Amino acid sequence: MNYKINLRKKLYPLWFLLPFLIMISMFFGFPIILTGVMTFTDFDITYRPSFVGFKNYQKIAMDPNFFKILAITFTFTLVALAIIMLMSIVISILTQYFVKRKVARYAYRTIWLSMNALPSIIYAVVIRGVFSPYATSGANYICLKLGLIADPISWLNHFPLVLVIFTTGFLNGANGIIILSAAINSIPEDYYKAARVDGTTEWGIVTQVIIPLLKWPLMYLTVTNAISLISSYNYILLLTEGGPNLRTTTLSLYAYQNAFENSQFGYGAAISIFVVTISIALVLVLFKLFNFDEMIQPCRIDD
Amino acid sequence: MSNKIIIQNNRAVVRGFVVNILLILLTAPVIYFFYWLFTTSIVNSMTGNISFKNWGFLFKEMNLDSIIIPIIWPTLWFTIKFAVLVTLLDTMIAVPAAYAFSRLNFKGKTVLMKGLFFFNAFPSATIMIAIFFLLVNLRGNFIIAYD
Repeated sequence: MNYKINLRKKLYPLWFLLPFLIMISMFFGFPIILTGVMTFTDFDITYRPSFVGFKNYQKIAMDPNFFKILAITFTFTLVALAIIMLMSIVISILTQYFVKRKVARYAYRTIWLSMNALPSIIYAVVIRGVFSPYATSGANYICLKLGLIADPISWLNHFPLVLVIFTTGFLNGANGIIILSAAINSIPEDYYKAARVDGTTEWGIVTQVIIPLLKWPLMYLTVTNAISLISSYNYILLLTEGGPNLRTTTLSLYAYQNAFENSQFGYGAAISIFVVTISIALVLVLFKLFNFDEMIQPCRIDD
Repeated sequence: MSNKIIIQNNRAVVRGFVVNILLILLTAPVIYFFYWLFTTSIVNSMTGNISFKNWGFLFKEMNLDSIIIPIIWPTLWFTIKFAVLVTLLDTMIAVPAAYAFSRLNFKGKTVLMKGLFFFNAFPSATIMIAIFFLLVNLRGNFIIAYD
């Protein structure tokens, strides 16, 4: 009898997790295992894979472009991550704490929210339009008017990496602003009042009240953005296609190109397994930095 | 005393001013973005004429440089259906799981939570290769089952 109750108690959380676990294993777990297996095959356009051992991984090590692409991946990830975090922290604190008028606050928030509502292809179209090499395009027009440049320049050929990093940073930052804004809004007003009674300056409120209370959302944003920057390539693909001359090719774009454009599925899968290894290592470092294990404390509610 | 209050008030006004200027500067690219998107859709870049020809898909199927663009409404209807169903499914799966994560204790909670982050680490393309073959096989089985 007692044993039965114990078992039921143990199984209780499982019922809540079951749909989630089924979906995760179907659309993540199984495909990931399949991808892992694929890396040991020469799976390509012929659809007749046979096992080749570690050949795909050897190919990565021998690839002459590999270190260049690795360096670009790191630059891209770190700079874009810095832009995203800085931008979302600054803008969300400015709008949600320093702007006192409700209407203005909602106006800023709506504008930034609207950035999240459009698919990435539209941003790529606009960026390519604004930074096109014609003298009438937005960037050239403004810079010519201000006298910063003498002739219209082809931005995507001269500063491809800068442009890609800023576009990705700006657009992912818009997402971070929404999350941080909601988190700042949920901080009770009393905390600010108490801090002011104790004679804190506004700067002190930001650094000693708001930022510490945002630890969880900040951790979430840093980790998810770091991961998605390493593993996503859609803006790069839409803006520069990795060019000119591989100058904006990151590892995951390289995996995509090898898998789908060159139809070397096995090699593409091997590169992405390599990418995943890097990002999991990075995430583990971030978890240590943010003290993740302490954040997930056992619940105190006893059924 | 009243002098001090006035100075503090002035400070608040200056701070509000600086904050708004900063925010307007930071928000300007977003506004320019929507402005660019809209003007490009109605202004002909060659002649500078304004026309709503590009918005024709609202009323009828249109032919743009020999590319057929269908009328928008059936597509919109499908998009709405798709979005609502996916959101429902998403919520139905996520809410119970979130309850378990935040209110219940079970073995492997931390590991599973970390796993949630790691799943995002896979470049979607490579997972897509596998999911694609999975779906093709599923569909094949369904077609056989229904035939």
